[in-house]
Amino acid sequence: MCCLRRLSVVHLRLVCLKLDKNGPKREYSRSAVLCSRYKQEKRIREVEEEFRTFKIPGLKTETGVKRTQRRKMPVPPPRYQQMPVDQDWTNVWPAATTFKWSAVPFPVRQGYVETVTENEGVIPSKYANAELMKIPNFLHLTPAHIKKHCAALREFCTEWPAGLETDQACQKHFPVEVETSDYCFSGPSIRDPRARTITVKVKLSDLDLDYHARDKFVRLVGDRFKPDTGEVIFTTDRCPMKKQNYDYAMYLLTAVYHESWKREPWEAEKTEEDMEKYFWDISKSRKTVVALLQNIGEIDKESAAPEEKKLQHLPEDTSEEKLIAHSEVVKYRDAVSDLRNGEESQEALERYGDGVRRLLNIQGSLS
Amino acid sequence: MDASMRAVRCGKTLRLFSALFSRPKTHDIASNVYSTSACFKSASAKQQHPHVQSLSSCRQMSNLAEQFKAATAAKRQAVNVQTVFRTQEGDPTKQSTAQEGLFYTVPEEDVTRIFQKGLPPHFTRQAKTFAETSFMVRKPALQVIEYLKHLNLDHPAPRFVLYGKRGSGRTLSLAHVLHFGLRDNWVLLYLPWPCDWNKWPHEVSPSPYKSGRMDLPIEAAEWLVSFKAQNAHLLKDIRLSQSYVWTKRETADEGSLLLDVVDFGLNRMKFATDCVGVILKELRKQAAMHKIKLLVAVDGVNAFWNQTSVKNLEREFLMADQFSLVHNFKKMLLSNWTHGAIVCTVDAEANAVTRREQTTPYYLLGKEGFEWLDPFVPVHVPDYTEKEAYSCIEYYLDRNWIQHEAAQTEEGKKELIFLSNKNPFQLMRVCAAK
Repeated sequence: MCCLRRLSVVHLRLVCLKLDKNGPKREYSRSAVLCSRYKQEKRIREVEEEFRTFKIPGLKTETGVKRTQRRKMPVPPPRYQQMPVDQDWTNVWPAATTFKWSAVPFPVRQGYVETVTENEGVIPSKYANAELMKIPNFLHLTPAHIKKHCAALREFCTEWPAGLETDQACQKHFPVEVETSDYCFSGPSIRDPRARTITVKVKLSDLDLDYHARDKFVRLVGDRFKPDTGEVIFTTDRCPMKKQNYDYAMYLLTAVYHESWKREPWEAEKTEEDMEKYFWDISKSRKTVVALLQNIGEIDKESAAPEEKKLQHLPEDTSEEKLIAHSEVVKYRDAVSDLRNGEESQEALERYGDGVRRLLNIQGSLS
Repeated sequence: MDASMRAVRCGKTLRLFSALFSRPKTHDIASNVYSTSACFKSASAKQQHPHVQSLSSCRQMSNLAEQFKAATAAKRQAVNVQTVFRTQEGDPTKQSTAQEGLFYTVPEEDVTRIFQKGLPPHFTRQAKTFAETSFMVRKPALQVIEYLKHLNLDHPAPRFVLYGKRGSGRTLSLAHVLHFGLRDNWVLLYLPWPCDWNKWPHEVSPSPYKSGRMDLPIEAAEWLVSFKAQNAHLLKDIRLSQSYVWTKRETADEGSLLLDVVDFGLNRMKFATDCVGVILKELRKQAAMHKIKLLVAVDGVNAFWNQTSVKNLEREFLMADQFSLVHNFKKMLLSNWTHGAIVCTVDAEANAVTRREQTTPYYLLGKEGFEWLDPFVPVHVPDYTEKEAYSCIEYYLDRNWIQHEAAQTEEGKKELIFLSNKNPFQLMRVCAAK
């Protein structure tokens, strides 16, 4: 019934279209009449008919409809399982690359497990481990690789010069170390601004400096001097070219060297505070000790105390020059200087205490 | 290594202790001073004490008194022979290395005389609980006493500086030396903790004697009180060598008693600080005349070269030596007077928080302070030795400070020593309630 009606409607429309050719205006109105009639009929039919069933999509599996499935390719076993024990590793891992679990023939774990519930408390293994892929690896720089690199480079090498077998010999004959860098990359320009930087390293002990000159040198270069290695490091990058920077570094080294040998008139005005370390001879300690010993010397002359309680080691002549050269004073001076210049350790303090006790004849040690 | 560090390292053990912590209910006596029970639960669980068995047998006795007697006897049996931790030699002038590591009790009259102020608060509280003030005879104090005994008093006053870690017993070693000084008839000039002047001065007023300096009248009066208590018996005949004019009407005439100056300072607080200066000057003069011998003792002497919390009119913080008191006492630290000795301690706590990293004299005193005291004899105050630590635990057991029975076992003592790392203060804390 339904099909028939649908056909009739199509037919009617066709008729309309045919009629259109003859007289459009009239025939339009005719088709409009036909459509409205059809709608009316449909409404009547809906009222008359039974309830339509409501289909919930996906509730019932539709049988008969088959999805085309892609054929699964068989996954080959990981490569490491087929690796022979005596393989050439450089062929497996020829260049730097991200970690690949299937090509690494040893067990390795990486990552963080927060609780025992997470991954059963076990640090993840290499399979699909993103952590291992994040970190740099050195599987392309094994001894075997290095050997191959060296073998490849050998033909470009020259003879090692005789007499430079040891590091000490190299240091002796080539005290100035110059570091440069070259950068190669593909681009429209082969220049790289980083290539201009020059680093010049010199050991301070290789320079011919006396105490004053060394101290001045260290003060002039500031933090370019590394006290732990004894090196002075000049890094220059202010000129555009490598050669210019090298010349500038050499100029700096020369200038600082000669400047440090100069004695300016204002250097004589250096006070105790300006000193680079403690000098007993200009310290307050010297004045105190000399005054104290002179005082004790005078007291002892008049004192009626027994001889062993007096300061027997004190020389007859208690002038400052004599006292300073006196052996006990010298020991005391060394102890104070050690204490002030070095670390204030228990041993240094004990030595200082012993020095003071001998200097002032303080008796009565327990042990 | 610091004891607390160690305690952290053995965190596992500590956790075990805290898990086992419970107050002993059976013998809960009025005092709350034990609680090492926490540490010894594990030990006591393992070891069945012999007296526990005998306790069960004696329960059958009908008489309560008999039960108690038997239990006490059983307990006494359980405790091994007590090691010696106490010496009867209460006079520091007679002590020697033979008494090293042993406690001696300071007579009550000496305590009230010297230590009205000046002992560490923890120690004072403990002494009150123990109903006695006992010092351990330790090597640093013995050493200083030995130096003092052999001193040539004609020579300028020598200086001794006690240094050591926090809680190693510097102040108590100084107190021991002071007790020696009292018994050996030294005039004691003791500054318990001058750092307090810098931090919390009670009252600051400009000095009437010298402009630019500040007086601390209340602190000066406090010192005068303690000075009088310590030394009145030695200063009865000491008279002034010159006259001092306080005001138009108030003068101290030449030949008047020195103790009158003390009383004047106490009555006229305005001049208390100047009185201290006069007393120190007069004492130096008297010492030079060999009438008395002076023992200057300063705890935390590095406070003299530190900044104070007091500001001047320009809103700058004053340095400690701008206080007249500090100025006067700094003069006592110079080795230009005779017939005396100077014993000081250096303490990181007396320095500003930025300068507390080391405990050595030069670091704590700074350049200026070191040069002021130089040449001095540094005396190191170490932590307890094995013997001293055992002795201390025995003393605490004797005083019923530790009541848990496991503390009487060797294992328990070893635990206490381990937890405290033999540091006297830490050992005291480990054995205390909190």
